[in-house]
Amino acid sequence: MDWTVFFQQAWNGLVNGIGYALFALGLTLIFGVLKVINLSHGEFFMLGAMVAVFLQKLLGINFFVALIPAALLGGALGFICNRVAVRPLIKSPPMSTILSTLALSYILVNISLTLWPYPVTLKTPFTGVINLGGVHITEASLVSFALGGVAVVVLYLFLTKMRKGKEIGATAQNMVGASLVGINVKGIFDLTFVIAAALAAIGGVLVAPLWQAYSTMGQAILLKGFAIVVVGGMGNVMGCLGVAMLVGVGEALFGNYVSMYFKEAALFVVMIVVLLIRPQGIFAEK
Amino acid sequence: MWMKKHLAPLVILAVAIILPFIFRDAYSRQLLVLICVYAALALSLDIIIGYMGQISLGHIAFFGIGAYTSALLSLKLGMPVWLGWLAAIVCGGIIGYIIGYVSLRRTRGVSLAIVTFGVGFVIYLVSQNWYQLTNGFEGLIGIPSPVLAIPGLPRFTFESSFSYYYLVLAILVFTVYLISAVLRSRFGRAVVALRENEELASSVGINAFNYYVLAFTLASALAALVGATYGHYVRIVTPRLLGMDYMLMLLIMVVVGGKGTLAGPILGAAIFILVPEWLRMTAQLRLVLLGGIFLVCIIFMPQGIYPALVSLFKRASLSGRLWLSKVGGGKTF
Repeated sequence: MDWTVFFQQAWNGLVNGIGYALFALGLTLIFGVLKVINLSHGEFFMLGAMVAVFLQKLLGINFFVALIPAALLGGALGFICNRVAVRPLIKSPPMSTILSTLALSYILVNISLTLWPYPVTLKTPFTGVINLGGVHITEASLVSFALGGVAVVVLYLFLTKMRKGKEIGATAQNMVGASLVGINVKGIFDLTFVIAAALAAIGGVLVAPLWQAYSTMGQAILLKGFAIVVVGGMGNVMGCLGVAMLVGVGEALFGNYVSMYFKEAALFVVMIVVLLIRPQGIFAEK
Repeated sequence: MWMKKHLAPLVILAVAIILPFIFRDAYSRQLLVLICVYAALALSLDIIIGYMGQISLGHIAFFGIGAYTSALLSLKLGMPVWLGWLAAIVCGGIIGYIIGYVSLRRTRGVSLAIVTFGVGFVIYLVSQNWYQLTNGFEGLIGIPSPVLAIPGLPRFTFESSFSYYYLVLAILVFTVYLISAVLRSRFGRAVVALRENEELASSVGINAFNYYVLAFTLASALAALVGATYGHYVRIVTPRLLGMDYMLMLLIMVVVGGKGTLAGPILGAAIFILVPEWLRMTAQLRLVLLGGIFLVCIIFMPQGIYPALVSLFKRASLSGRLWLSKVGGGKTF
């Protein structure tokens, strides 16, 4: 067995994994707090990448500078999504929000397709390659990995150390209890959506130089995000992070050693099996 | 009594039969065929959404399974088209039974939506990547048209939109009849009872799992039949047929048309085939508009267009009668 190939694939997988994590963390947060399946989550991700594309193509700005406007715009879109598609239906059966967020996703994708119909690979100022004992690590992937890691750590600190973050956790645990102790649950819903969408937008910017940026990229990652959320346990933040990295690495290795064509199918089969056998996720305690 | 009860459906059927004589150009007739196809497909999805009260995001996969099964059998084995359709029903039913049997044991609601989403996507990936069987992205081309060869009568090929329209209309009528007959049966009433309250229905001896699986299988088999008829009409089957775009379209037809009614999905299919055609000049933006209509309908008209129309009509006729009674000097009707 050629270990350099193995480690090369594992590194590529880790970099993809951080992109998946940024996407899926928001998805699992929204599910945990609002109990809503957000099918427009992919569009937050796509928006991030598209902001980076527009800033680079029109103003010549480097992709990592686009992180800030992308995060802000993503957050704003998250807020709008919550107010337009989720809040009016929060008391209806779960199907209503599935359909309304699906409709919103459809609208956003087609707006994006009118504005930017073809895929773009973003240029990056980091062009060097580090050779680590035969494993090639591009500087671009290293930068994306590091920035993504920072975003995940910031989210973790926010959720565990800061008051608002703890309020999100409390609402996820018990909505009625949270409102009884004076937490503004509706405000927490808004905040959750804003944070989740901003995270996804950051993820979109970070992967834009590595993958391609295109209008339907959100739909492509959405299912993968669901698989990660389900396997990690719906609403389980740490489980989601772990599974995202596992999926990134596992997918790269499966693609290399088993089948390139069926790597996605394999992931969904795992998801279906987990959902049927262990619906609480593989990292749940009970 | 029989006449009164069946008057409306018979009138609609009569209108449907003469429609191709009114719209004589090929384009309109093609739209008529598409409406019938999608109406039957939407009705099959409505078994799951409207009567089981569950949501399947993978229903379009069965449409694809039917289309591929029948197309492959007639292309590779030279099987007569009708036998291919039968095989499509059997194949869709078996796969639907397996998926329903495995997934409905533990999952309902949101989880079921994700499981079916995943299953649908896996089937889509197979249709795209199993190159030897499905010819990948390019799909299957040159699928033969159905031929009616009764001994003693001239051979007839269902090739034109005109003749095919009656074929798919027959399938639509069959679907409507089947669903309404099932709804009147013990099985159908049990499924509706389960939708209303699964625990209560189970407590009076309805086996939720068995009935759900059976209903899911029926919906899948019907979707496969519709898929098979569609494949032999357009004569090309590609993985795109199983894509999320079509799934979304189908959901819109059922939910915006009116879930849990027979007329709703048909009305939905007609609206959402015709409206995009009329909006053709705005290209991509018409899809934005379509999504917008969908969103507005879900928020403001959650029951769908058909039930809203019915209640509007009832209210109008009620206030009309009240008005008549007023001008009629207090006489009540």
